[in-house]
Amino acid sequence: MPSVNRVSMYSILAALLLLHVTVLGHISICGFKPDILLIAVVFLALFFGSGVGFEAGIAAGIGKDMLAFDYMGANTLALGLTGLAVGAIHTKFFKESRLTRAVVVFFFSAFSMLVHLFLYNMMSKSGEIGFVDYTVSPLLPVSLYSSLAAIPVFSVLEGIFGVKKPQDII
Amino acid sequence: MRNPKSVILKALIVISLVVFLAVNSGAPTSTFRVRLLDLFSSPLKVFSQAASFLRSIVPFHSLRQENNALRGRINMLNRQIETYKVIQDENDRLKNFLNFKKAVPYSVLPAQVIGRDPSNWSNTLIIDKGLSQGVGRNKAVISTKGLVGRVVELGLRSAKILLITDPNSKVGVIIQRNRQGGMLVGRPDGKCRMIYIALDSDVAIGDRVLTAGLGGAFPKDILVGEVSAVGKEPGRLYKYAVIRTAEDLSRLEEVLCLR
Repeated sequence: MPSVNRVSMYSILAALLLLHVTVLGHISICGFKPDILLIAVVFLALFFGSGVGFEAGIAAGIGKDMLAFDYMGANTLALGLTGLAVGAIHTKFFKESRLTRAVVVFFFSAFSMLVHLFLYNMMSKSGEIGFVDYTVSPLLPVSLYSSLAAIPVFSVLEGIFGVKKPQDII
Repeated sequence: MRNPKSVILKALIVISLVVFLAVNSGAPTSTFRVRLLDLFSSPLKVFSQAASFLRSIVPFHSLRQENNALRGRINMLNRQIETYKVIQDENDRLKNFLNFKKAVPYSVLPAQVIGRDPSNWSNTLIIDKGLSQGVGRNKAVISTKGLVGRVVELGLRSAKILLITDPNSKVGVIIQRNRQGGMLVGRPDGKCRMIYIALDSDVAIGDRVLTAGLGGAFPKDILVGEVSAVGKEPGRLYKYAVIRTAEDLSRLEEVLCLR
C-alpha cells in the first residue's frame, strides 16, 4: 500500500473545502453541486486504503461541520464512514477504469447521504425527512453530479498524489 | 521525477487564483482588467507614436500592417465594451439595491455573500457583516425580491444565514389573497413547502405567500414566493403547498440584514 503525504492531503482537503464554499455555488445545477470533498475522500480511500480514507473523511467532515449549519458531527461521521467503507473494499475494484471510479463515487455519495439522512432523522425533533422524497431529490441528482465531476477531479488528484494514470478500459 | 512540493505549491497557487477570481467575480475582476489596461496605455501610446513616426519615414509600410493594427484596436475596444457592460450591469443592480433600501420601512444593512454551505444537506450563506456592523442574531435577512432567511450564527465580522429552504428553517406565513395561515418549512432538495393549511381552504397555484409576522424574527408582509403546486399528504389533516421562492437563493450575491 503506498503511503500518502499528510501535508499534501490536508492542504488539498483545505483547498477543496475553500473551493466548495466559494466557487461551487456558481456551477450548481438546479441548486445542486457536486460534493468535491467526498470525491477527494473516495479517491484517497481507493488509492491509499481505509486508514487514510477514514482520516481524510474525518478531516473533511470536520471542515464541513465548521462551515455548514448542521448537526455538529453529522458530516464528520458520514464522511469518515464513507472513507472507511471505500477503503475496506478498495481492492475489489478495477480502479484504473474511469467508469468504475464514477460508479464508485455515485454509490458512495449515495451511501454518505443516506448515513446523513439517518443521523438527521435520529437527531431532529422537528420531523423526519422521508426516504423516497430524499432519494428522488437531492440524493440522486447530487450523486450523479458528483460521479460526473469525479472524472476530472480524480485526474487532478492523481497528478498531485502521484498515483498511476487511468486506462481507458470501460 | 516530479517534486511533490512544487506540484502542491503550483496547485495551491492555481486554486488561490481561482478562489480569488471567484470571490471577486463580476466588477472587481473587470476593474482589475481596466487597471491593467490603464497600466499598459502609456507604453501603448509610446509604441503607437513610434510606429506612426516609422510609418511616415518608411515609405514601403504596407496597408496590411495598418489593417492588423486597426484590427487589434477593434479587439481591444470590444474587450473594453465588454468590461463596461459588466460594470454597467453591476451599477444597475446596485442602484436597484439602493432604491429598494430606501423604500423598505425597516432599517437595513447591505451585506455581501462571501460563502455558501459546503454540504448539499443544509442551505446557508456566509456574509461579510457581523456583530461589529450591527447584525443581530435571529434577525431576518431579505433581498430586493423577497425573504432570504435569518441570522443563525454571528461572528464579529461575518454571519451565517439560514435560508428559508433549509430543513431547519420554519417561518410563519400567510397567503396574501385570503390571509390563510401556515408554516413554511425548508426541504433538503432546496425547495420549500407551506404546511398546516386547512383542508377546506382555498389555495391556488400562483397565490403569493407573505410572512405572517408571528414569532418576532420576521416582520409582517415580506414576500416569500408563489404557490407552484398544492397537495394533500396521506393520513394528515391538512394540505400543503410547494412554494417557489421570490428570489433565486442559489444565485444571491447581496442581501439586506434587518436591524
